[in-house]
Amino acid sequence: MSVPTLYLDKIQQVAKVSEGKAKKLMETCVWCLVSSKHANGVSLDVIDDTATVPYLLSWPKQLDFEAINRSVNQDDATEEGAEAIALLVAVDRTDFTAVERATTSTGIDYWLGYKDNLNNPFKRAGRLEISGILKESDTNTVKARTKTKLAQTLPSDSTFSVYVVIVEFSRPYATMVMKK
Amino acid sequence: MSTVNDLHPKAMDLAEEAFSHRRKGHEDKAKRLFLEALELEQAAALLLPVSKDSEPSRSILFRSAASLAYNAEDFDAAERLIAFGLSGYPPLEIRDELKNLYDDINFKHHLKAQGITLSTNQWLMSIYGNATSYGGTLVEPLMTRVDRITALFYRTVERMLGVEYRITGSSKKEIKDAYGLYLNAFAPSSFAVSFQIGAPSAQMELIDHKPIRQVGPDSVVDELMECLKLWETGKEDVLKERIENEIYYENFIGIAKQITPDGDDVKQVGFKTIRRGKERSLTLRKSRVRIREAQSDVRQLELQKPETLTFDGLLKFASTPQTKPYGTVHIIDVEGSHSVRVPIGLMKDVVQPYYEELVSVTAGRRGDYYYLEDIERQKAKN
Repeated sequence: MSVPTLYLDKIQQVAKVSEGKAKKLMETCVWCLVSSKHANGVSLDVIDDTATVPYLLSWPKQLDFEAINRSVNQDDATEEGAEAIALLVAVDRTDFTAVERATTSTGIDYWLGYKDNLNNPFKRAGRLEISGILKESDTNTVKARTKTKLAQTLPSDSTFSVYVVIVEFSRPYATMVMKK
Repeated sequence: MSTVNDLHPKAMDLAEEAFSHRRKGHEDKAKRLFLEALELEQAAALLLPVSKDSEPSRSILFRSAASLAYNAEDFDAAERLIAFGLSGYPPLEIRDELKNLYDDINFKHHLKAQGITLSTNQWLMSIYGNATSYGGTLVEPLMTRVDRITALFYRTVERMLGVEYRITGSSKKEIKDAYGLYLNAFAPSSFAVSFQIGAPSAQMELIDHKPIRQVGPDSVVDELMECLKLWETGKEDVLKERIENEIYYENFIGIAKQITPDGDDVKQVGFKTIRRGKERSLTLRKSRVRIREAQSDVRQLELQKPETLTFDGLLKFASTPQTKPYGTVHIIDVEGSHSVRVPIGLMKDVVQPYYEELVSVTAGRRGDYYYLEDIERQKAKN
């Protein structure tokens, strides 16, 4: 069976974001991967509570890396890079077909929804919590980050399902936990 | 005619840009963008009729628009949009989020603390929830936090002075003299108390005959606020690097959990300082209940899921060895006595205050032992 590929230049096909935003997510993600010494086509393991599933990550060949280096804000890069992967992974590994956004008092949160809900974009939606780690260390682990993210989500009697995706770039791998 | 799908993504693009400018410190530009985003998001929300079929989108869009107004500091508009959202049929958790946002706006007003003028050596802590009313509060939620903040303050002083972690006993007299902490008259509104830090009477140069760093009292409070902010925003890795010493870090997390909101009785805990004429405030919203739930959910990632138990009983016997990483406490219940190991950084400031009280202890089993994950006073049964 062939390994499925996540195309970083196809974020706009799943997430309702502007072309500029989709490009920025892709470029930042590529910056995180290349900084971690990975080449185009690198394999990414996605671990959830049932299995470990391998994916390949692909981006366009003609990217201008000098421009990306200049434009990437390194403080935010890991989070944005993780968003790019998480949006693609979440839609691929669930029944959802689209990613929505909404504003909170502290930032923007992501939701999983359906492309056909044009005037009711959050109908049957699920929440998506994302975080990124450039290189896991003793003091900064995927497991601890998952715990932090879960603590920020709502109590277990939530109306919406909650998915937490954490992306680690040095290996690279991602974990996906559904809040029960 | 524009649709929700035309307006909402554009509003979100502007909001992203606004948050980006805020992070860079371009506050004026950020506010302008928040207002532009607000206009589009409000228009999108208003397209949906008040009906069950419009949910949850209608209430999520109003929550989103109200958050934009809140970020643009147009609190009147934010309140109106919250009311619109609540006037429909929001799902339970969106209704709670709209109410929480309303509480945030109220709390902003409280933190302005009419009638209270803070001087630079003062530090305000305000709590808000069902346990508080105008000018009054249940004693326990307030006093527990005053007690833990005091412990955290002296731990921060000692850490910043470069003093080795104190496993037993209280802070040295020289430290208490130099960094006297006073509690000022209670103020009403949500329920606020202000701490005042006395100016150091004399510079300390030696502790235990060793030279120490010089640390100003204000910088202790600033450090404490920064550490609490990192913890609240989930940047525990940055916090760990900042605190460096493992036991001080463990102690900080343990005390922070005790200060944080505990559900309905205390929904928010806020802090405020004044530096160079500018207010700096921090609101803690992370709840202990959520922290516990997260601990259980994250076990999905563990191959060997550890057994977790809750012991409800009387806390008795507390042993704090000087050389081992764990102390031991016993919880006595109808089944007998249960021994629980406690990380040394949590023994004195987090566990010992509950000695001989009825507590609820969450502990995870590793090998033959139970290890403390959380402790709280048993809630009175209705």
